Amino acid sequence: MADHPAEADIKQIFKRLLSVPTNKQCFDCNSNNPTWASVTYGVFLCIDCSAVHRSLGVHVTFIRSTQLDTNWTWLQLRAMQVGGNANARAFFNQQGCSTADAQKKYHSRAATLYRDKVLSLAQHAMRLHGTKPIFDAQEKGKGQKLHIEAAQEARSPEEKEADFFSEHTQLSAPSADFSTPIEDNARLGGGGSSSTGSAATTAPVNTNGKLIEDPTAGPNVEPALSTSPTQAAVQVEPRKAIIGAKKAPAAKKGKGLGAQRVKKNFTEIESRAQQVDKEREELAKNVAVQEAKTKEEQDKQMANMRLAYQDMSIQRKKEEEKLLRNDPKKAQQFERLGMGFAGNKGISHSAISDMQTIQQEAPSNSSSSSGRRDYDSYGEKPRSNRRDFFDDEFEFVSSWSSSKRNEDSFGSQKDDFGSGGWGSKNRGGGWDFEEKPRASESFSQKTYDKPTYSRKTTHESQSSSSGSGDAAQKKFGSAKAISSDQYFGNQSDNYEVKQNLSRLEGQSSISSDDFFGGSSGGGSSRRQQQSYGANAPDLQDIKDGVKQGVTKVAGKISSLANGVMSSLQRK
Amino acid sequence: MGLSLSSLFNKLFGKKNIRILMVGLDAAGKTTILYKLKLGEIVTTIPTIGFNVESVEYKNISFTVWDVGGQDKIRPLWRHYFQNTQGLIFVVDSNDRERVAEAKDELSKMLQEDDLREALLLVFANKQDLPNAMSCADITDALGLQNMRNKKWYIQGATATAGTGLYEGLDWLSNELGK
Repeated sequence: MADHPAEADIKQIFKRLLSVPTNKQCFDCNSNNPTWASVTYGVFLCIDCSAVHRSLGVHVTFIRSTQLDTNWTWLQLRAMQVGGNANARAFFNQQGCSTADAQKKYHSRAATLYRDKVLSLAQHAMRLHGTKPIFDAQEKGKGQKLHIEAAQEARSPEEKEADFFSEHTQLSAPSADFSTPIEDNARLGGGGSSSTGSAATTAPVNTNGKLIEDPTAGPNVEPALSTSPTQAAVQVEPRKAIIGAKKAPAAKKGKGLGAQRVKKNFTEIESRAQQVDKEREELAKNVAVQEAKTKEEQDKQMANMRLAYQDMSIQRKKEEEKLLRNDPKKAQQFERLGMGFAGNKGISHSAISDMQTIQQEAPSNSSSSSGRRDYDSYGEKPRSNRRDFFDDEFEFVSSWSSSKRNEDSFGSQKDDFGSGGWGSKNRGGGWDFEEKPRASESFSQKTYDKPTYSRKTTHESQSSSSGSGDAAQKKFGSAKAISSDQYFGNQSDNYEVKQNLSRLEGQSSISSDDFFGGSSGGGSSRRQQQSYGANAPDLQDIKDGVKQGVTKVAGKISSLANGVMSSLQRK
Repeated sequence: MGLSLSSLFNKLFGKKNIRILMVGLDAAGKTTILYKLKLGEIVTTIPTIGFNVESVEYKNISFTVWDVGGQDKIRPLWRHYFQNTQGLIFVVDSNDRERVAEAKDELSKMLQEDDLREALLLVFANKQDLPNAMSCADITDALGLQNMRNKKWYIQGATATAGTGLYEGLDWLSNELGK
């Protein structure tokens, strides 16, 4: 993200933006003076509607306050500048999306399209202008114009107009300018009705030569007026280069002050026009490239998402098959225990889904460790898939491992300690799994028998630790919660700390105690703990239960005692 | 005699009052969590400007939860609530991957305060129901919790709208405070 704009810039930008009449009403409910904004759509909202938007999630619409947020990024500001309520409304109407239901409205196709459009326009503006605040652009085109050039162009007609008034001689130049708003729209591909409208309104005004101050362009006029006519004339010259002379000049010419002048400049104008054409082509190309890029990105993201889901289902299926192959009885048991293969990767993990991750993990580790080829048969593919998904998002160096490690015989781990693979990030070197898939399956089955398994695994996996990799995800994977205790639970070494999270994967919670708690270090103690590990969950349950019971009883006793005491005291 | 006895009873079995401060970036779900705990239902919340405070009874403990607005400009006000806070609940929007870094900054800034040195840190990784939500482990990493060795912390995946995970978090708080 770009560096943050200064607060003053933000204020100024919003002051301008909110002075646009269409932005003075909430996009959703039309109440007055909205102070909140959806960056995703570049629209302004009232606080009530912002609440609705917030409940949709940031992936649908991201809400910021124009007053209470000071850490806007330039990209976000650009999105607001290129967006605006008028454009959004026009787009939604055009797409035939007129529902007032926020859920429907912002999950509609129109919404998705507009979201992408705003994003690409904002990026475009970003690319063109970096971090220059571009206030003038909004004034003229009501948020439609994005460029500094556009801003300049927008201003130039006015200057020219001053020109036009004072000296009628230089007519050709202003007339050339009039085409710019239109051209801008064309360039942006956005062609919002509002901006064309404004362009249209400007044009007649100019041709009549009556009005200098375009009401929509209020602020711009001052600089224009402050420059002396001669200055303006001078300024006009260089600017001409940008200005495309197309339809507008012709139209205006016909009405206006003489073909003679046109003739005079004709070749010049022609060359200018060519230049502009070229420029525009270039721009169009840029835009196309950019669009292609964003599309690619989107595709990639989509692919990732799809992959992720596909992945899971594929793996699940594989799992299922394998399980059936390996041990039909177990599979039956699973089904009986309701730990079906269909468990989705939501909040509730099915045992199978957890096991999956276990088994996936194995190949990635075992593949590099010598002599453990059991997994390779089904290893490579799921593993790579998973990588695809996670690597992009957040470097998942070694992936899901979790309670798996509990099941591993520690002999192999010891080997690894020796081999010094610990510190290394690579999955192979870290720990290895003495892989007996069957064993692990049956084990995890046992573990997850109980509905409260997430808690249990915490302690279970706490008891085992093995190391490589360096991130919390590895240790705790899909944990629902993690505590410092869990995290640091039995750690003594740094790399183990790093490793810790993957230990507790599959849990819903991780605590600091688990994490750092009783640091014992060394493989041997861990081995002891391991044996304890399998039971730990149950013990914990019992403990919890007893605690609850005791507190309950205690509460009752206390109220009883209180009653007694108070009655005693009364007597 | 009777008085001392009753006070003893109160000490042993009476209600405990715990002051909790709940903070987090804007739109993380703090107010929703607060009212889910308090009322057991989902209320439509508007962005909190200022604070909400409710007391929540759970396991014979009375949690006084202060929910403070998370908008950028009102974050500096958080520190006024730090004093005497025994538990800090930090709410993270698990779905908002772009702003986890911001959350981390805010958290570490806060934890440097003296007033919060003793406070327990409970992190709610909220909005776990959303499709692209980060897992607890991801967030542990992203917030740098794994480097907080001298702090008692606990991160709990939660979905405020469904109420999942909230009481598990309070469980941990009450356990730790009961120790």
